[in-house]
Amino acid sequence: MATYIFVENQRHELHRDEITAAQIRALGNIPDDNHVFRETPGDDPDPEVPAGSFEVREGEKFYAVPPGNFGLVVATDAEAEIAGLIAEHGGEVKQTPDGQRWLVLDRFVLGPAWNPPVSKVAIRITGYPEAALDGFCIPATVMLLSGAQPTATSPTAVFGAEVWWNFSYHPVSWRMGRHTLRSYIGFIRQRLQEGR
Amino acid sequence: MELIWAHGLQKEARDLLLAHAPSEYGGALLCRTGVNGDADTFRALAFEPARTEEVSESEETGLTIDPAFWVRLAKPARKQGLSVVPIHTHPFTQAAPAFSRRDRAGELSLQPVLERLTGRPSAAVVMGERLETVGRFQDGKRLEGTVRSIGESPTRAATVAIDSEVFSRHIRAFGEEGQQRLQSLRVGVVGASGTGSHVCEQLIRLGVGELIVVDSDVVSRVNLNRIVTASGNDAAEERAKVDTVRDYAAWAATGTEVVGVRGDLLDTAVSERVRTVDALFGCTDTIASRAILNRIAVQHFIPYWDCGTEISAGHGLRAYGRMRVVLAGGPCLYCSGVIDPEALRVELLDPAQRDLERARGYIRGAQAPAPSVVSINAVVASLAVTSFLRWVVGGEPIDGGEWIFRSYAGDVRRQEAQRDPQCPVCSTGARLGRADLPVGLSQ
Repeated sequence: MATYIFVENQRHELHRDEITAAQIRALGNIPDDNHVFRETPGDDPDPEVPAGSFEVREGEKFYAVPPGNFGLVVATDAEAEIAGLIAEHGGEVKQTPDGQRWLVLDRFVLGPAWNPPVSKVAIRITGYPEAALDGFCIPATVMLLSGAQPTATSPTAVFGAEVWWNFSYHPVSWRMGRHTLRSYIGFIRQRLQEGR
Repeated sequence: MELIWAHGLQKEARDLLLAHAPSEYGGALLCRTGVNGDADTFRALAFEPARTEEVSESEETGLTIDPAFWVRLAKPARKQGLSVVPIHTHPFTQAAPAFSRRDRAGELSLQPVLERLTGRPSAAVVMGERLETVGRFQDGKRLEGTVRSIGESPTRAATVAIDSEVFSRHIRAFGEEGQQRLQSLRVGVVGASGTGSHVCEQLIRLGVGELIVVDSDVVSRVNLNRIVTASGNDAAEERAKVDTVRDYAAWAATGTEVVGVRGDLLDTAVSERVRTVDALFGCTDTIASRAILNRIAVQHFIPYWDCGTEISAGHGLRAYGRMRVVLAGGPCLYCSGVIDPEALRVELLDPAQRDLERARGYIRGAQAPAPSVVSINAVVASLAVTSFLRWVVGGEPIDGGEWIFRSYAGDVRRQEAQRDPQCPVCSTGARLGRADLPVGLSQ
């Protein structure tokens, strides 16, 4: 005797009263990353079908739900990424005579621990994206709110005679190929939020 | 399309989700949408973050939320008629965040499933450090829109011409865009007497686009001490209070169009008219009107400034002026104790029944007219209109709460109110965002 079930709202006839998740997937042409759920009455969430064989009843309904799949695509176009940051913060890319390439962002939020709380920040991007990012500076006119010089920094003439605080800050969790200029800016923010 | 956060929800979601930075994280917003023809407006009522066991990937560059998370939310959402709208973060993004290709691909497969499971339209939100973007697929097209909290006024296209001479001092204060926003708004004022006439006067001087003024009464000589839009002739001719506001606007010549509605808010036709406004002022002295305005604010996501004064007779000038801002999602007038259920019951009795109860001693207190002084009314009106102006011109979202002016102390104090999660009016399962429900007290 045939049993009818519904997979993704389509009626299917079975000549057995057991089925597997794989068979349901095949009936509904369900993608591998989707999970299959059995529709149940009541307020409890519908259960996912078990991996093995299980019993089905006449008229039961099964449906597929995909994962929520989100994410920034790692920028392969570094210049577009740099241009995007300049559009957000204002600024420019500067070349120094010693061959270094810097991204200078004009309106960077340092946070409430700093005076002023918004300032320029310069990020050394020489060799990026192939090379890791691990150096940044803020103008030496910026101080901690207490009036003190930021710790673990040294005054450096980065662009001509202009003096900047050069942060000795090397994020240990940098991972080549996964991180971008934007995620490095996240590390900078974390360091500045420490307010020291 | 637009997504509007209920009060406080944006901060709650941002604090919780961005705490995972630099990794992306996400969850879902439970939204009310598709009522009264505004299918493109999603009102976010509640936020549900994904549990850590429901997340299979949370990295700097990607996030995967397991299907079981969506299934967990779908049934209760369907039962309450709510949309499930996925939200995830792009940490460190300062400008309005953009959906990545992966975001859009994920949304393309998830949106129809969420719509099928809940029976409601869905969308997706991406959240940066300060701003969010909302998007959805509709009829094969990709739509994107803006996101704002209830504490921020809608940003309208600058389609209205402004009189740069009349409003030159405004432009110096909050720019041409601020003036254009004022001129693009439709504002409701319920009550055109003591405080209401001041509110109308100030809104007209600010140049708001359209003013819907509701009052059922006519001007009489006892009003002349406080209605700033009325004259002795108006009292002699017993002209409608709303007509004096319309005449005042024409005389002031600042461009505000006044629509006078001579009626009572308890009349369904009047309350239906009021719920079409962008912002609402309540300047009435009845609890029933306040209860209806409170419902309109909570159900229709319309910011509501409630004004009131209280003068203790025989104590010099010991006066209080109260101004309350009700933002959907924050504490409403019911949570704040402003709407006294027993007093409301009495007010809603028919006069014969009220007299009977009074005779039997069930109702205490005389029904004498309350004292009213023009300067106290003006203080409260100015507090409310200034708060409204902050809401219009932007900068940062305004907050709900209560401000109390004390004449004897010469100060204005802010009083915090707490939202009652079980409130029969503003809780998520009650009337919050329920634009589909009538606002009348008999419904």
